[in-house]
Amino acid sequence: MKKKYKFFLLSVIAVMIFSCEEGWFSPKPLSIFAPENVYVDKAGLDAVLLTCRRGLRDEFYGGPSVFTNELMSSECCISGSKGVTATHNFRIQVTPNGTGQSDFFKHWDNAYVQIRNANVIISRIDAPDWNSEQDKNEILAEAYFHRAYWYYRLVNQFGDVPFLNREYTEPKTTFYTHSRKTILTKIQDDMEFAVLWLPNIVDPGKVNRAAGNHLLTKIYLANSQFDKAISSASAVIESGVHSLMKQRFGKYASDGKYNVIWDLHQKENKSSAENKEGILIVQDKYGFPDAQAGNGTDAIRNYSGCWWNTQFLRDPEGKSACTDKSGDWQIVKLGRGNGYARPTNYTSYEIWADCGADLRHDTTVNWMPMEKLLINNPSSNYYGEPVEKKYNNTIDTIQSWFPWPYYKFYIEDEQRPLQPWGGHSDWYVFRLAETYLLRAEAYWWKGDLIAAASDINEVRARTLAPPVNPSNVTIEYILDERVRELYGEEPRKTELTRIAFIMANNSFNGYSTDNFHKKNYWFDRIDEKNNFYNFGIMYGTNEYKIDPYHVLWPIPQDVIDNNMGGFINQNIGYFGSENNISPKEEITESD
Amino acid sequence: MTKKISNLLKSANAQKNFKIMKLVALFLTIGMSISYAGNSYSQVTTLNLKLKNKTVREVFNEIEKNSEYVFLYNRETLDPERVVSINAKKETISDVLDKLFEGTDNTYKVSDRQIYISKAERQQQTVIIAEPEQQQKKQITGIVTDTEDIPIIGANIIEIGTTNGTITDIDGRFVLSVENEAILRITYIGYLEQEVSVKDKLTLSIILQEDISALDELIVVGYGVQKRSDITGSVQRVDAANFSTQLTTNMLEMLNGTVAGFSSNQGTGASGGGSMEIRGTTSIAADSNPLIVLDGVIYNGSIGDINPNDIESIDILKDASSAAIFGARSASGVLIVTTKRGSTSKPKINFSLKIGAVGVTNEIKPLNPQQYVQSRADFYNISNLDKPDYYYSDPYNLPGGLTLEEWKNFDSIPSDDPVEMWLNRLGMNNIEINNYKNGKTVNWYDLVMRNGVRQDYNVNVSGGSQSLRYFWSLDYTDNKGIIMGDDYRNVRSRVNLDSDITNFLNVGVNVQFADRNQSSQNANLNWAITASPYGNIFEEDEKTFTFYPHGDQLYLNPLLYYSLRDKLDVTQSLFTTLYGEVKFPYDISYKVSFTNRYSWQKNYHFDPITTPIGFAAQGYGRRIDESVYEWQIDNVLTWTKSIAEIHHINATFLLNAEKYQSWNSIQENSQFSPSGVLSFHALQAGISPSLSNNDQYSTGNALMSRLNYSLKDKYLFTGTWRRDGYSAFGQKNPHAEFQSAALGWRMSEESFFNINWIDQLKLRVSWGTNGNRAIGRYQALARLATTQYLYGTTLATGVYTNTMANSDLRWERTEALNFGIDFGLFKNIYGSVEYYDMTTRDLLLNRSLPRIIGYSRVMANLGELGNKGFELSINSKNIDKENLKWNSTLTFSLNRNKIKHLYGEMVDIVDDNGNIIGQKEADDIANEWFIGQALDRIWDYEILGVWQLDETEQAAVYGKRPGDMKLRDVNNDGVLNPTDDKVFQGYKTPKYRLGLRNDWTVFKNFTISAFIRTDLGFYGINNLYLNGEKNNIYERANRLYTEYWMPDNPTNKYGRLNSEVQTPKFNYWENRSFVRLQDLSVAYNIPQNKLKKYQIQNLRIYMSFRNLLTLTKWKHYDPESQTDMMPKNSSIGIDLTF
Repeated sequence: MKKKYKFFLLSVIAVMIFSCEEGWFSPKPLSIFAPENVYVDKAGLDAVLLTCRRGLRDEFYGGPSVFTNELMSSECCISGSKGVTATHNFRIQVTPNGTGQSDFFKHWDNAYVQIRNANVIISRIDAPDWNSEQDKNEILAEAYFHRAYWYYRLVNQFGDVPFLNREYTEPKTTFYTHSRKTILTKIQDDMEFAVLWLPNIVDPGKVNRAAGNHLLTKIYLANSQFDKAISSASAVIESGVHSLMKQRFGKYASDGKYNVIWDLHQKENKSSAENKEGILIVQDKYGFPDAQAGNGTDAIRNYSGCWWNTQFLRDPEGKSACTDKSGDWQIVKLGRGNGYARPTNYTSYEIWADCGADLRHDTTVNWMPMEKLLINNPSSNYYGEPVEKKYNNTIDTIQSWFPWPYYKFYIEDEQRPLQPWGGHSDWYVFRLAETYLLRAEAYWWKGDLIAAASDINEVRARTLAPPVNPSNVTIEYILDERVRELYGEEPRKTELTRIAFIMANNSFNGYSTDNFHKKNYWFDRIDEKNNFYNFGIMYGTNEYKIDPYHVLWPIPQDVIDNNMGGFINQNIGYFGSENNISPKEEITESD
Repeated sequence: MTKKISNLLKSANAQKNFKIMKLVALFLTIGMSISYAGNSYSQVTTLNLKLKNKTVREVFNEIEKNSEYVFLYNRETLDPERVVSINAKKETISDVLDKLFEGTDNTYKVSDRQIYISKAERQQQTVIIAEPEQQQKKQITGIVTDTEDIPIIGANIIEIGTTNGTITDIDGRFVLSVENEAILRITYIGYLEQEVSVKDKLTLSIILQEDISALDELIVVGYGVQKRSDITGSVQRVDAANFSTQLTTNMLEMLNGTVAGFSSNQGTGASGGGSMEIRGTTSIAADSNPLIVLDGVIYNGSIGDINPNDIESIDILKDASSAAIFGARSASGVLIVTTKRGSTSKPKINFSLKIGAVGVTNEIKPLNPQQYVQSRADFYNISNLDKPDYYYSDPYNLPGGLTLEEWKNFDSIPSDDPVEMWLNRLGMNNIEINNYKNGKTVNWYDLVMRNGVRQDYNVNVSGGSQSLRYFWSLDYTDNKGIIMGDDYRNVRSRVNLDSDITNFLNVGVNVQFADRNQSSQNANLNWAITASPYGNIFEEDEKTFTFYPHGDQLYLNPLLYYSLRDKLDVTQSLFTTLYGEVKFPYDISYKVSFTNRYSWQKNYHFDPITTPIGFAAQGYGRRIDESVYEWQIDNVLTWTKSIAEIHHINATFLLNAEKYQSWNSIQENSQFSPSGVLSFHALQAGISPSLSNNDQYSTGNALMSRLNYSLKDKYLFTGTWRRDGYSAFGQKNPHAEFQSAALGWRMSEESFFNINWIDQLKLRVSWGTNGNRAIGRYQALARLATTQYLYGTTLATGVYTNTMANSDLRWERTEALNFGIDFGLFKNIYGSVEYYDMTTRDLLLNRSLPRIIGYSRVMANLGELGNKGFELSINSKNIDKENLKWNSTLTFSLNRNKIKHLYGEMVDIVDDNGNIIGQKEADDIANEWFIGQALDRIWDYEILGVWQLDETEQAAVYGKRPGDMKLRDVNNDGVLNPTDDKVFQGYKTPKYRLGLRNDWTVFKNFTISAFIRTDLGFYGINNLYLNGEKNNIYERANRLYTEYWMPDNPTNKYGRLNSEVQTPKFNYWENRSFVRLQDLSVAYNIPQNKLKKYQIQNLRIYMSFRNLLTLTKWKHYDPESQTDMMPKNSSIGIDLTF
């Protein structure tokens, strides 16, 4: 009988459950935050900024890092990979449906995801009850910074792209392309507001006013507003917060073997309080598994050669010269590189001609020349002797034989100490040396060669390089200096394309926007300086080949396809561009 | 008891002689709810009757109404229309019956509450056709029983070739005078016919085998049972007994290919199982798995935890009408699994043991050492064209004319070791060179493969008294798959109890417990394929496993994690149902069941520093703990009523509520100090901890009503209505309603129907809507994810919006129309034909978004998907002789799928001149979904062959070289891009499926059954043809053996080594059609007479084989499992019942 009651009770309960249906059906996301309870106060919006700041980091890390795409789309590098997917032949491999192993579309995705995050803040900026206008505007200013940062990159990678002015909380498939110029104007406005509110001094990893002005300088340059560029760059240089590091500092300061350039690029020193040169530094340190960047920088993999590969380098008898045997002295000292970004002769040799005592090319500690590479294969009869290029197939040297700036890219690897790939380290996004070079560029566009040379020489003097004579300052010289100083830090393709657009917009040297896809400074410089593209060099499956229209990367086809109700233009030269319509010249609140 | 009654029911239906339809309804509704308090009912119960000029039938009705007695009789033995008057006051049933039959030749027998009416013994002889007695004649006495020793009443016995015959009495006995050499044919509906020779015999004991596939079996339809003849929907039954000789670890193994309209591929791992889908894909993004109902309640647990040995039958509800009672979750069909239960017979112990060996249907091995070296030489030969032809040749096997000196001098400083020079030219590394010189090779493939073993031990005990029936089973499965470390163990136990508390209340409990263990780590087959045959298993110390057997960091040692990873993966689950059933007056019964499911999983592992992962992290450990608790309550009210023997009504109402909760915790740590020796048992020993939790919660409820109505047993109607609620759709659309209706017409019951060779003919039509809610519990919400970052060395947490919200999200609905014909022909063929047309609307799908919005996809209800199909099932008794019986079952099905609408975005149609000539709905190219095409349509570049040497220039246009695959450039513009040049080619799922099962019984005790399965007209990806592996594998590692293009082997089928397959990406589609002898088993029943003295009721030994033979053109491992190896099992077993 007892059971009978139990069942009766249960059925009563069941009926009761039905009588209070409302609460019964509300979804309970137990382990998931929702916009409704997070995006309501300063802490919530600040938590989104954290995601934006972290988002600045991704492209520099991992192997191949996305950042290497910027280098191989310039005069500086090619993809040194031999794999079948390696991006060598732009004509065949760089298409709206994919760009090979070097996935250019990751830039697109990274950018638009961070734009989404920034737009969450921008659209919800009035949701919290703010204590002060300052609080609110600081948050808004940094959101504008992130949105502008990514659009600055996008318009120089992909040209005309859709501008999203707000957070989207429901599906939309009716986007249209905005012109590059419209976007640059918009982000200039936003950044002019942002630099009024960004704080001067921030924790490492956050965005300060100098970072805002640094970005604004680049935007002004892109808009050919050179005077404004000079003043915003000056705002950084004269802020009192930042200065070039000219004296030894940090972890190795007392070790006479090294020098200030070495100090500047050691992972312990990049974000240290002593370091006044770093403006915006993304953060990565070993021992914080949920905060650190995957397996680290992989800087050795990205920027140094595959010299250890037993198939490539040979001793005089044709035996493997080198090995990557775990713990071998040379593999520990040089790391197990993979040449994802394989420098051209321009990067490795030409820019270092007559470099004098330039610390950046100091071969005792900073620079790794190939002459220092020794045979470490124990079964070779020439063990311990230098590897000689003449015993090798030229083609095999593509991935395995090139010098590299050791001080920048050799990063002790906590996870793979016996076969280092490049461990965890902070990375410079903006550094004051670049601000000087940007101001120098602005002066140059204005024809003020003396001021330009002065700024360049600020940077050169610090590295003990001989000063440049104002009459020798050209845009080419500035570009060379940028490689010497900023290799692996500056987004090379972005900057080169920016300059190509400045020339086209100002009808400089016969360049024009009308036939930009056929003739542009970006391609002409690659054609002149890059000793791989268009020479019929076949490595692995594909030949190295590039065309003028690759100045703008293709718009991903799936974005075009999935935007059924609207129209996103394809860049001219890629299939699908024949259907293009005029891009929008106005950005509205509803975009 | 139930058994006996159902026998009677079968008889009743077929012969139309019984009058007990009312009884049918009663029993169907209340099941076993009649209680048997003891034998004394007839002695203590008294009746009061006062009837005048009533027929015997009316008297019986009156008695049945006022007591629990039930009358059972045969119209040949009793005239129910005889008019009588009776007057009884407080008399026992015997007194009443004595009066009633006074002066007739009827006699009766009271067995508890059942009363059997028959003719008096002496009368039986009148059945014998009067014929002059002849000397050869003899009198045979016999008894006819079923396999459970229960007498069969009313079985027909005919002397073959004569009209001489009789029927059995209520004890199953008969007496018949026959010729000396006569052969008797014993028939009884629902049982297989039997012929017995009477030669040298005077007594016969005949056991009739139940004809289990007959049209009149009881089918479980969800919240009740129905006779097959009353069913209006499309329901297919699988009887587990048919598979008892097979070594099944998972019940899906019974269903692989055996049921029309149920498509299921075999699993390849040690855990068995497989995929399942009923009538094609009805959803794009939501789960298309059928709903499983276990003993009447919805089962969300793992299929692997249901012991196949416990299963009595599986009923598959295919059409909308029959599945609609499960509304919200039934769009992909329903599998109703019924487990065995106790009966009132004496206790029975059954023990079975099955052991099997597991092999592989088709093996492809990696290159052997010679092939490996040759392949590298060939690779370099065609890659490095600047070297002379013989540069890569074996120095001791140089082609004509070339001297060793000449060969050596190709290098600037020749060494004095030509072999080393050669291997260096082939890019071998030191380890490989040393091992080559020492003649040392490793067969990695053999190291990771093994002969698998499957074992299953099962014991069950069943029995019961009239008030308590029990079934208890315990099963231990221990499978070792074909790859080292693919181990699976499961201990499964079940208790089913049914108890009659009073004659109006019965209660019961079903408990299922499983302890599933998958703690071992597989050896890695892919790494066994890539590892060089000249690699090393161990470092120089001969005991430390190498990380990279041939020194290349991309290719790991296949034995590493198998040997070194410490792993624990155990899941315990408990599934219990408590039920109670109350019988109320006015034919109403009420059943409530309360179901709980608990599941606890521990999934832990630890990688020590002797593995690459452990080395990088200085020890890495992870613990995942997950527990699940869910409950549901079903309240079912049933009302059954017959009116004037013409109208039969069964109404069912359901009230259901459910709740799901799960808790998941992940703990990770690395950098263990002082060491990782405590493994995952002490993650606190690491210094880099990481935590993650994911708890989930959902609720649902349902209201359902169903009406079954049958008119004169000929016209059948079923209607259902269901309303479901679910929290995942809780914001705007918490509820959805689903309806269905079905009609059946048993045409063969009509008086005008007089086609002799058609025994049964029923036409069915059904319509209904079903829902699908199988999406994530929080899919409708915008979800924020957390992330961490550093400011200097300060750790901080941030958030971002991870998914877009869709508060309008609602149920996916499938509307389906089903036409069916059930038929029985020539007394030995029966089957059914089905045609259906289903349309799914409001498809739950991850629609593609332009990625710029920050999300690439959002879950949405969009589009329309159609499925049409045809199914045929035929069972036939081909031969039915005493010593040879042959039954066949043929199934055939086809399904055609079509995307009718997607997002409703219109795009212009442009003619060749660029003029807009109309509009059409846009396809989703990113997902390869095209309006008007099937979901499984293949859209890819078409391979025309291989570019040959004389086509070098044409190939170069596309960036290709001789030996690369030649793709069709549809518009001949010299560029391959998907929009212009991909074409539709074939389908990914079978166009036709056929199954043929044959069962033979030879000399009574030998049974042989064979199942042949055929899937036709579909394609799969077999990129072995391309020789286009990534990562320069051809100069770095080993691979599976395939032929390849070479200038001197200009095949048009295989690519050159390292052929270009990336720009654009494409696949080699190969026909997967196959015919396979999937199951073959031979069983021998030891004859009863040899077992009696050992107290053994039944002893059977058997052998069975799975995937014995496969015919296909598919060149990878197996057409069913494609690029995985398919196990091939041979097993033996023994089945013992005491």
